[in-house]
Amino acid sequence: MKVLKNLFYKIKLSYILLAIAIIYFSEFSYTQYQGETIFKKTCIACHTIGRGRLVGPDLKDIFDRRSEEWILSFVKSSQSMIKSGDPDAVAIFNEYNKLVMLDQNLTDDQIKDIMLYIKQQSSGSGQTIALTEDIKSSTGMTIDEAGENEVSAGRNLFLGKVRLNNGGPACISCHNVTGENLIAGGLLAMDITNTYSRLNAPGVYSIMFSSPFPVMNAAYNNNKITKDEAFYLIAFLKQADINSANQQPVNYQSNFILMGLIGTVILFGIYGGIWWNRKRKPVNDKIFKRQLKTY
Amino acid sequence: MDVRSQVSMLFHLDKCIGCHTCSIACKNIWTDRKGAEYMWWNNVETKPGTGYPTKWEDQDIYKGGWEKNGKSVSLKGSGKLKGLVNIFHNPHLPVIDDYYEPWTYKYSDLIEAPAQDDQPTARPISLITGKPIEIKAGPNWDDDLSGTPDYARKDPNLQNLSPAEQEAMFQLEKMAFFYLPRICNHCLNPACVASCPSGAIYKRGEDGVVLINQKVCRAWRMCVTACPYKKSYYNWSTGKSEKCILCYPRIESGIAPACMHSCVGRIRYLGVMLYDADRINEVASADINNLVNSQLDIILDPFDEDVIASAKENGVADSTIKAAQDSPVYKFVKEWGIALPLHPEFRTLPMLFYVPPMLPVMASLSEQRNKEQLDKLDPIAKKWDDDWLYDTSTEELWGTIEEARFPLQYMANLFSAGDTCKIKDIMKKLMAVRIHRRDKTVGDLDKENVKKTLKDVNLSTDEADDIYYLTSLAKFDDRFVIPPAHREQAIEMIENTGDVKGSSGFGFIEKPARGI
Repeated sequence: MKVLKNLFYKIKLSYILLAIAIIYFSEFSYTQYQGETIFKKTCIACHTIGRGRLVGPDLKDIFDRRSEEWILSFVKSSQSMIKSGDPDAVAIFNEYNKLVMLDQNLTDDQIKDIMLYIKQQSSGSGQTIALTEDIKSSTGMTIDEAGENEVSAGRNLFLGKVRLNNGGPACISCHNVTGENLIAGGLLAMDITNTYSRLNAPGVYSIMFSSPFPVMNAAYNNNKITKDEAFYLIAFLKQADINSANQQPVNYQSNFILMGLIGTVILFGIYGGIWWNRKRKPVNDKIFKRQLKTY
Repeated sequence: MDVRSQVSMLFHLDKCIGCHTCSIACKNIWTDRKGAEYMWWNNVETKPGTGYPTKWEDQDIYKGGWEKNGKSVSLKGSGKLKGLVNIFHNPHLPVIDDYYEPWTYKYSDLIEAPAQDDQPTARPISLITGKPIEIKAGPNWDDDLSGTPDYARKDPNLQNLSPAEQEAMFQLEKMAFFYLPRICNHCLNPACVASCPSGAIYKRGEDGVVLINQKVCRAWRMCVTACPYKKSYYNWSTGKSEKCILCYPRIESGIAPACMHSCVGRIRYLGVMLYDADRINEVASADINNLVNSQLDIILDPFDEDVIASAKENGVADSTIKAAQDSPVYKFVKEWGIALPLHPEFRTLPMLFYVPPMLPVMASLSEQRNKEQLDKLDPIAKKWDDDWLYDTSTEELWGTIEEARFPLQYMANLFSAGDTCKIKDIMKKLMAVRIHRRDKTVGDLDKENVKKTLKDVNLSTDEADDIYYLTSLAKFDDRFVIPPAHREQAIEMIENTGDVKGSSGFGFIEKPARGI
């Protein structure tokens, strides 16, 4: 009987322990899962874990360098930290080409989840995390091997002469690239002429797929750019970046006004030609002009 | 032969006294409205003079009417291609200053002005802007006595006159003139109808009155340009064009149009004419020398059996044919041949005819030494110190015609496309009637000469008496032979007018799927 009773207690205890373990571990894995989801959604475009710098710094071992409070407030609003003159924040801002890290609309708990995820991945057993491996076309071509054909395909995609496969808007609607054979692009977003040299291929690639910029994210969220398209666009941007060194700046803004003026003159010239013999004034004009006026 | 009936008009210019009663009658009935103040559907102008709107006869300015184009005619200022090019900018439109800016006076100032040192005056107020204006012109500005040289010397009809003839007119311009009353001519080949891009203008089938459908008019104003007589006006308030409607509501009830009814000088006649619609194209594009004759030829004899049969076939009512037979206009124009259309060279085949005036033309001025006469006058009497005598007597029978005060060329420019022979014939006929009547009533002329004059112009004494009767004694019913309207047979009573709705404008377009 006693044995049975002991056995029962042992089993009961182990059940309780098991339940605690399940609860504990499921809680842990849940937060870890949360962190992973958010990281892959919002952070991965600019950051890697253990794969080197991308747009922003590699986040592996971030906790060796910064305190959790610092990270928390930086993620919430990097700009206000920079403005307040935090030396670390200013240093990072300058180091990464003064690219603004957007304020993330995340709760403290969510940020902590992400940190937990980073911690876990940073530890020796974790994998390195990055959006892409090597950027290659479907035929296995690398960016460095891209030739005139790829660049021109990219240019057509950029200009919207060829539609993006999934129906996303052409880049030129919002972005400008200065270069030959290119018309002036939109001013809604950054001029991306020299983006390639700032971000390199992986940076550009990651922004295309998972843009941290809300408008771009909304524009392409349901109309993803395909891998090949991204490859061509990057090839084009690379070439544009190289060309821009020798490129005379094409200023369409002032030309536009000038062309408008010339166009107006031509248009009115045509009108004047068509109606050259129109009746210009009343037939009594001379008489009216001669008449005395009293007021 | 496609016989149709046309209510046409005749103005006897010798009888016009220039009282403007017609203009006022018309204005009171039809154009005393906002936006129509400047319109004079009926206006009376003096000739020589530039008229209303100023220089309306000069188609180099206004581009009205038709011009001969090979075997046919085309509109001078509008039409399909020209109209389309100019549809948003009609380059030859008269502006308000070509007519005149209508005004009234601020009468309320006379009774409402506060006490002040000066007598209040009623300032002129523009009827368009409502603001005080400087009156610059009016429909008859500087007009009577042929106006200043600004107006008389710029008369477009003076072209083709030799410098000597023009000089003679300039010497006389201060005392020689005649009146020219004008309304819409209700032409057989109306340029306004042809020019309308909306198909809003139409010539009524039953009596040929040209009307603008106010519901269809889209204010392109091509008709304003196209009408060489400038008798289509744009109403700036309603945004539609308007024109003389020949008082069709009055005609339909058997009453003469207001301008004719009120005419003090009884110069106006109205009657039906039958014409051959098949020949309009041929007549409109006739050679300039043959223009007047062919325009008169298109009018058919209402007594001719073939014409009557063909008219009946076309649904012309018996009563209308009877009216055509009694038509005073037919008598003046066709039987006696003493009336001509105004400016036939515009090729619109106007259906308003004029008996050219004789009086200012036939009289002469001679220098007289009147000292003897003056000496007989009472010393306190007013003595005129000029030596001119306005002389209507003649030595020779046709003497004054040859040496008329108004060169015949001037009259010919107005009424016969420059053909002076036509004018001379008419003058001779009118003169012969007078000589015949003088012989009858006074009897102081040589009988042989009287017979000779009538024979010269191919008039019998009966005809001369008829002309005299219709000119001088005609009663209301003689002057206006108005056909019954037969509204019971009007097209909308027997056919669905919706059948032709939408088939107007530029050719016969396909109707839009949504319907019209």
